[in-house]
Amino acid sequence: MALRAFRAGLAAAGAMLFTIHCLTPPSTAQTAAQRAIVVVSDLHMGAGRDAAGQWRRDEHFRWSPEFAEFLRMVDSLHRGAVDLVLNGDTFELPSAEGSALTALDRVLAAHTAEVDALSAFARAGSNRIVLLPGDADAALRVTKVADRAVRAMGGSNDRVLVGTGGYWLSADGKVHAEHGHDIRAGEKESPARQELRQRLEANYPTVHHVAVRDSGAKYAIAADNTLASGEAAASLVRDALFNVSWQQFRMELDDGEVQPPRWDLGQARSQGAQLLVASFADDDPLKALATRLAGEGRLGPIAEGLTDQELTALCDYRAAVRRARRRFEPLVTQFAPRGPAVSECPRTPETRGAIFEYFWRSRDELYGAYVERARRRSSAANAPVVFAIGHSHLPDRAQSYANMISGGLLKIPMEGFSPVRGALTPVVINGGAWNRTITPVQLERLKAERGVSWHEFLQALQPEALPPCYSFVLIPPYDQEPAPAVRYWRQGSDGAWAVAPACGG
Amino acid sequence: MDQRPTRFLRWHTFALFAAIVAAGVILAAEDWPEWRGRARTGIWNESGVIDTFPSSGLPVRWRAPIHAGYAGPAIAGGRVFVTDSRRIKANQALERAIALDEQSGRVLWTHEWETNYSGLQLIYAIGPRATPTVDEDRVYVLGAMGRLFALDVKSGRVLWEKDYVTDFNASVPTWGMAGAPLVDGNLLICLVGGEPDAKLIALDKRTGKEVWRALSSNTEPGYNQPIIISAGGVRQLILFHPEGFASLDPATGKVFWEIEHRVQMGIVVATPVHSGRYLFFTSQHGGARMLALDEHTPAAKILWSGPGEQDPGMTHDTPDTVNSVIGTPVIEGEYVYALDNDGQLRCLNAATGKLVWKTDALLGEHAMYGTAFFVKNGDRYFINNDRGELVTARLSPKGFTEISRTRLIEPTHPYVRRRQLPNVLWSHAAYANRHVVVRNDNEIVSFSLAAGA
Repeated sequence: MALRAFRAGLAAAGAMLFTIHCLTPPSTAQTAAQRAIVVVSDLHMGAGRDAAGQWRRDEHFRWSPEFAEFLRMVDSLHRGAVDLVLNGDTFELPSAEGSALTALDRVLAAHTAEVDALSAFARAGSNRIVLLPGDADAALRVTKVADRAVRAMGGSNDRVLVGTGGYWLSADGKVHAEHGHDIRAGEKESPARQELRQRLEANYPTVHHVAVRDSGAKYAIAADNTLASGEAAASLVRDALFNVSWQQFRMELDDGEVQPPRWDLGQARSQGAQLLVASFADDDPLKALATRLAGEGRLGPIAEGLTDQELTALCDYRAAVRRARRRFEPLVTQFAPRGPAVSECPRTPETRGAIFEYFWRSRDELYGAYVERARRRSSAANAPVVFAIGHSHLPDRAQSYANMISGGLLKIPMEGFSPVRGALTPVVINGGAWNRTITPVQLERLKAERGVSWHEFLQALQPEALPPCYSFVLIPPYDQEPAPAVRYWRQGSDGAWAVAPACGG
Repeated sequence: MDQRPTRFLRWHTFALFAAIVAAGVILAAEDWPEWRGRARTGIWNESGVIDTFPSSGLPVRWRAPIHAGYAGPAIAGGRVFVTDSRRIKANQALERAIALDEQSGRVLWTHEWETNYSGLQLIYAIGPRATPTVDEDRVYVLGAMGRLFALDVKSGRVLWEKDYVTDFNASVPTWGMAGAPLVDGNLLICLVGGEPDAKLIALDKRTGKEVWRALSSNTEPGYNQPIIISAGGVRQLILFHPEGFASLDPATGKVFWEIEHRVQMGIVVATPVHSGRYLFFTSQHGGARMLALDEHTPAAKILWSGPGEQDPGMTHDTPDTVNSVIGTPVIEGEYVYALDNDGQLRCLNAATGKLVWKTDALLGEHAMYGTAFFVKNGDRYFINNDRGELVTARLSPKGFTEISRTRLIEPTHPYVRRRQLPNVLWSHAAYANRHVVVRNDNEIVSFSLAAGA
């Protein structure tokens, strides 16, 4: 009884929490447990083709046939009872209302096939579409822009909703989805940085598809080191050091009960700009840029402005890279575990020792704090069980989780991760991007195979050359607790599309 | 008739006979002063050793309580040396060197030092790894976090000490410092992983003063044991480290030759073995490499390679080769025998690397990270395995012939990946003076192996 009242209260709170543009629930709605939830993000639909019928260089979504087939599969598999969450960065829109409306019209016109597929999906069964704003389409928070998108995808049939508050909560309050760009405070892109990113991507379109997001910038710099200068370049260097998805790091580390080192933050901070420069391995394309910027005095203020938490995260990152490279760890997605190592940050005397560390504490602190903030923001009684995000473009991979209660001996298969050490919930899970992506390691390997300069390589490489594989989060209907998993819409060698547990290869 | 010459002759004959007998006894008895015994060869030359174990188990000479650790004991000059560790608070621990009377097990002295295992994976942070090294009046002991002590064998007094981290700028590798110091002449050769360029450091064994340093520390030091072999007309110091194989002049640290062989996770544990022209290396991830040593100059080339877990298409269970995780292989004639990381005892043709046979008979299970330590005695091997058993067997290209088996000691290191046992024993036993001495995390025990005991 109490539990039922609690759940009802939770559901009511959840209903109030969300500023859903179209609130009327469909009459055929089942409970959350009876519906599948599919979370896709980072489609980045842009202005489409140019007058000559060629894809514009800044168009990142060129996949309408497989997207339509994906929607048909999802609808069919779950018999028309799906909550499809478009979890941010569905569109590329400017932030100002007027220009955003114009841009949205252009995007919708350029992607009629995708919009039609979404409309058809929304009409089928009791399907619903929830459109959430990300950083690239933050203008969806504006009512007029949201209205326009809703009409395009199905009019006012109550099946298309926009979470203008920036997040969505399932009816039972157990699943929370949001784009994820707000998780790291201070990640807001300055106009100069945004302009630089767009310039890099316009010159070399595939760098946008390098996961994690923005890590491709360094290859554009390697291709043309005149592209970045000034404040925007310094910002890029900073982002490169902090643009780390700690979840992905975790899987390359040994599990078990481990103890973190304590970094001597005072000593680290006293190194100033050199701390940042030394954080890049010698084979990192951004090392030269960082060195130049330090010489110009542009990195000093950034180093001075680092919080203790950021400093710790940076030192953890350096230690992880160092360890991986000094002992030939298995391939990781964000950096090649081969090559020169970076030095460690200075340690406090009591942790003089070994290199088996709890590197992901920075990640846990970051995500743990954010999940709690999200709960408070939504006034929910409890934190959601599942916290689905995107933004980084790098999906979480399945892993075995070392249970601390058993001293790390009991391995529990897990998708995503929990920022609460030793616990299995809440589950934070990154669905990556419903887009074609490539990891830095894959990109570097491909470039080496082709034996050309970075400029030639990136000039020639088009997104269509990337693996036909798109990631998303699937939460099947559930009785007790939602069980999210990252799945892939992948084209097999026979040309057929199917859901797979990995991209393969 | 003067009997004096005859009596003199008789007396001298008796004295000579007694001396020969005594010498025979001394020759037959043997200490175990370091990792894998004298010269690290894993050969125990004593005679008068039992053939078949009694069904009731081996007679216990003594047992003494100790704390946890992986380090096997060393035995020399009537003393048994071992190291252990106990937690005192959180990750703080007291590591300890202990000398026991070889006859009685009585503790003669201890020397302990504080350490902190923060950063180590706690399940493995139980104590020192390296077997003590005894040389004349000194015993050298190494803690898991890189504290090195030269101690007086009689009193345990500290003669000198070094700290790999603070003195040589080393980073303790993931599973702790494991390389037992190696004495060569006046040098103590240590696997340090110091920076810069101090993976190996030779110290003056009397003073601890650095004599030479060698090899880049771009990679971790690994967990191996340096050995010295004679080949190509010179003495060669051989090291298996995460980036490959190195041969150096033990006197100067000058590199004779290096062969690149990168091993994932830096897990290089099994000590290389040398026999004639063969020099064999094996690891779980990197696979097996047989080197052919040049007869005339200090040089080597790869004779054959076996795939490891890190190679494309391979898994933990690599077929048709032998990849040891911890236990040292042996070369007997033209064949290599070793326990694969999946717990199978395997025999390979030394010249070709071709699998001759494999069996689960030694461990009785196809067990992940199976471990066993082989010691040759005459025409048979004494094998202490990770189940706490002692097995005697003959190894030949025809197969594994078990002679006898008995339970020695309870395995106490927790390790979940074994299928049958919750715990394992990863400590090398010591064989000396017709006894075997073995430790776990609770006790050290001396068993008699004397024939007719």
